Amino acid sequence: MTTLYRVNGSLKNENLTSADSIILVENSNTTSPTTVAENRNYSFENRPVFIQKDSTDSNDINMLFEYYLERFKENETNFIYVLTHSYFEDGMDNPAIDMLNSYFELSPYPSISWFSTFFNTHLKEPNISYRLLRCLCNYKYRKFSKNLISFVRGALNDKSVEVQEAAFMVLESWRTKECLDVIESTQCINPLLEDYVKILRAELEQELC
Amino acid sequence: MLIRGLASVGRWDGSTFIQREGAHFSGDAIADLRTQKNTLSVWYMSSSLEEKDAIVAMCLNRSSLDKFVYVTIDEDEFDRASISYEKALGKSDDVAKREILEQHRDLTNLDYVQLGIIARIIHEKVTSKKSQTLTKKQVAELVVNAIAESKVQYNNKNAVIVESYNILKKEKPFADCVPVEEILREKDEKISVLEKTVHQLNEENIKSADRIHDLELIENKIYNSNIFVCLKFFFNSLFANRRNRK
Repeated sequence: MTTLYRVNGSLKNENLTSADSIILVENSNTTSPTTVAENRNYSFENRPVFIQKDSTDSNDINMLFEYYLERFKENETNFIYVLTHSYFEDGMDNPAIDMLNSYFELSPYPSISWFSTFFNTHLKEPNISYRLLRCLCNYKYRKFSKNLISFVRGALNDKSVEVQEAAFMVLESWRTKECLDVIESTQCINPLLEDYVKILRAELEQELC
Repeated sequence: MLIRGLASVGRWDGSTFIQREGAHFSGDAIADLRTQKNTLSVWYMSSSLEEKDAIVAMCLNRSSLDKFVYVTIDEDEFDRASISYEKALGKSDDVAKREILEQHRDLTNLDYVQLGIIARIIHEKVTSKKSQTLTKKQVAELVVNAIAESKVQYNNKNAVIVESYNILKKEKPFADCVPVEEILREKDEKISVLEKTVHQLNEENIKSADRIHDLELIENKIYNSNIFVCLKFFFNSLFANRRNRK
């Protein structure tokens, strides 16, 4: 390891002694029990390595990105359990939605990266993909719409009504120009959703055009 | 007519097949009919106006603004299946008119057969495209109109109400701001606190001034007494000198 991080509050990258405690601080409180050292190669003599969350240093940012990505991957089994055991109902929150929200609040870009991989892995499982899409039915994900819209576009071609319905709900929540384009380019709309999509399209056209 | 809100269309569409001969629609759909004490919540409506009110009341109990899927079922269909219903006051803190809450009904004494019948009725309605879906914006319009007509009171802590105004890009009513009376009252309170503090300070000043005055008096006394002592000493010594000369 050549690059080392914040040691006793100050940046240090060489000549570390065994007496130095390497501490990464999230929000200036050393609260995180999970450490990079345990699961990544960012370790120094098996001691916990922490990094300041608000650091603007590119090394720190990259390290944090990988740190959170690793944490999200580690927690994937838990997330699947919560996702498949949560009851999804229009207009109601559930633990899976809260969990994904907390991921995006904690660190948005690693979350997008993790979510993309996760969604691709479970693309052919309607039971999971419709739930994932329903988690995205919130205006707060609008700012990530450019990164996530490809999944919605893909889901609109799914045979399952639940997946297609969830995809349209996402577009309804985001209400961007891209969303309207996606709706206009969708060909096979399930007959049960036709009326809903027709009204939605009219609304978006009125709003955006 | 009775209204029942659905969790989503997808759950009722019948696309989840059961791989068995003679199977009916998917059992998953029944998850949408969660009974409590063998009752199921529905809303009664006799006109389109009451239909809107019932939808608003149902939507206000949600945690966020979302599309609303519902079916309307004729009472006769329940009567034929011996499904009884009774009045039960609806629960919604933000509905201002009691008449709206009185539209709520409970389907009572439901057993698994009756629950199956209700599920079949809803399933048939959805698959024959007799269910209705309102988009977020349509729901928002209903909510905002209900507030404008004073059927619902504006509550800035209800996410559905706040999101409704946001999606329609409408200005929120004054209820979002602090009323003038409250501002004035707070101002008066602050002024009275300040006045008390000033009064206290004045009193303390007066006391301290008194103390200073007392001290000055004592100092004067001491000073005077010192002068007296000095004079006494001077005269004593003067007289003593004279006596000595004599």
